[in-house]
Amino acid sequence: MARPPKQGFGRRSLASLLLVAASCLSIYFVPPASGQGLVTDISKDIVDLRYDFAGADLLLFGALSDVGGLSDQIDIVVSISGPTEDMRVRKKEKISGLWINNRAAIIRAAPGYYALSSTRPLDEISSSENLSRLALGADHLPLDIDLAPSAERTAFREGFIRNMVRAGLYRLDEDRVSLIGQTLFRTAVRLPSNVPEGLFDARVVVFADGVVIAEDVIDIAVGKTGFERAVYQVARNDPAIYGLSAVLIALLAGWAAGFLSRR
Amino acid sequence: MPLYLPIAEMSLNIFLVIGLGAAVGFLSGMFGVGGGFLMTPLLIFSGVPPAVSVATGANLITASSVTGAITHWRRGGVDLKLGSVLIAGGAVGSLLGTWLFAYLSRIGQVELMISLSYVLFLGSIGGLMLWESVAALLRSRKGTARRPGKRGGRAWHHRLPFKMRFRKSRLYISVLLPLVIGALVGLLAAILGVGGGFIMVPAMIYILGMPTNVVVGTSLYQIIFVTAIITFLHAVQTQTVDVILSLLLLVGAVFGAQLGARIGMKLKGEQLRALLALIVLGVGVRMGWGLVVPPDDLYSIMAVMP
Repeated sequence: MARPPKQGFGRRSLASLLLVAASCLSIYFVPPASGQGLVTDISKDIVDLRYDFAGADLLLFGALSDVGGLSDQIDIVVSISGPTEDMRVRKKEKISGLWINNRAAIIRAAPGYYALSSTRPLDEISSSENLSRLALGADHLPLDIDLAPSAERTAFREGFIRNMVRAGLYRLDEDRVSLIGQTLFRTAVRLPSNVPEGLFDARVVVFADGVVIAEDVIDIAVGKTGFERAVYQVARNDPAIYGLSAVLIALLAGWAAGFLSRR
Repeated sequence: MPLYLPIAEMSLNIFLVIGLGAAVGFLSGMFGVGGGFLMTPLLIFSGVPPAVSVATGANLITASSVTGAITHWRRGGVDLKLGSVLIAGGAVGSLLGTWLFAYLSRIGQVELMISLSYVLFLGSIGGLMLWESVAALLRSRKGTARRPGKRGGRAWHHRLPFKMRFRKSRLYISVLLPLVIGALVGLLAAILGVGGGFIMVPAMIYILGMPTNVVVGTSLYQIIFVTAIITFLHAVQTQTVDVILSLLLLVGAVFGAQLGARIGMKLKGEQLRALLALIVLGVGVRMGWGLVVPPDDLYSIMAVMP
């Protein structure tokens, strides 16, 4: 899927930033059970889309200190969401015997990547309202679909998520967060080869008995580098030059191929 | 060994890509066709986005047609004048075609149109070829020689105005005819990511009445330019030409074509045509199948172009 160039720091990103800020505030209004002793890191925070890129397996890990009482049930949820993009979802319908795209909806600023992992199934960790407020889990993904709330809207939403899961771009509860001795945790982060370029937010939320006690966000930058970046940028920014070069290269390559095959 | 494609924005196994090029090159060397009608669907089946498959296919065909056209040029098998008229028509057709392609991909019907066109054109041409070659095979078994077909004839188009003489093809026909044929094939080529030889060659023989020794060379000559125009237009309008993908496919195609040509020489003309007809029909049927069978998922997604 060809992606449009990333837009600048527009109104939408400002709005989402405010949203993030607001949700952070709401989290800190919940009195932390104890200090916010959460440290997180990732094995690689800059991922290069080089010629040999075939997806990346990262390791997100961290440590908790002084969180919760000994008897508390500690849970960790890690959600990673990629750069957003407007997506069109189409539905095929049978029209005079042929399956044809007939209905469509647009999802504004849908995350191009979303991965969720947790120590236990989400519904066992916290209440649905809590998770919804934290925007955690596939059911609570903030997908802005231009349809009125209806069964159709739900079907388009599920269709979108299903497609993203199939493309390997949405990973819902496929990876576990393993918690070792109430202090150390780690989880695998898998980026497929068709991962979009941009900034990824990895969010770590720590629950004690279903209540958020700590939260941390770290960034992962994914981008093309070197030759791949140059090719992509010329194609985007100077399409006429790119097109002419593509033709010229093809003419030369075809001539060279003829020359070689005669020998 | 994976290779990341910067325009398709995905990685494919490099050996798969070269193998794909070799397989299509093998068939094109064996049958003397461009193979675009096989390459574009195969790329789509390998997961390359349809728009990238079509645009990159055009880029690849430019390269492989140069190779073929040079060979025919040496044998004196290119009618430059007629070819250039076809290119003029093709330029208009491909402009319309890339515009139509961009429009259809906006409204979400590009795959439908690709499938329908493949079914229609490959189905009818494959069917005709199969009919003709099976009849020829049966005749050769019975031992009756084929009547030499009448070439040209006094058809309706001889009354058209703006006649022009094409010395190399020994034709005196209205210039409108090659212009329109060029435009139609250019339109198809832009939409389907093919060179259009499978339509152009029969049109040259049966409608224009060109002698067979200049048909393939002239067709290749015009395909170079028409696909070059198409590549350029797709690059400018949709940025979907992946040069790295097309170059790798070409590497495979060069070797495949050599092998194919060698094996093709050992087979009889009728056998070759029957085999090609079956492949053409097969691709057409496969495309049609996708239209009538309920899809695995009714929903599909695509980025909204800004």
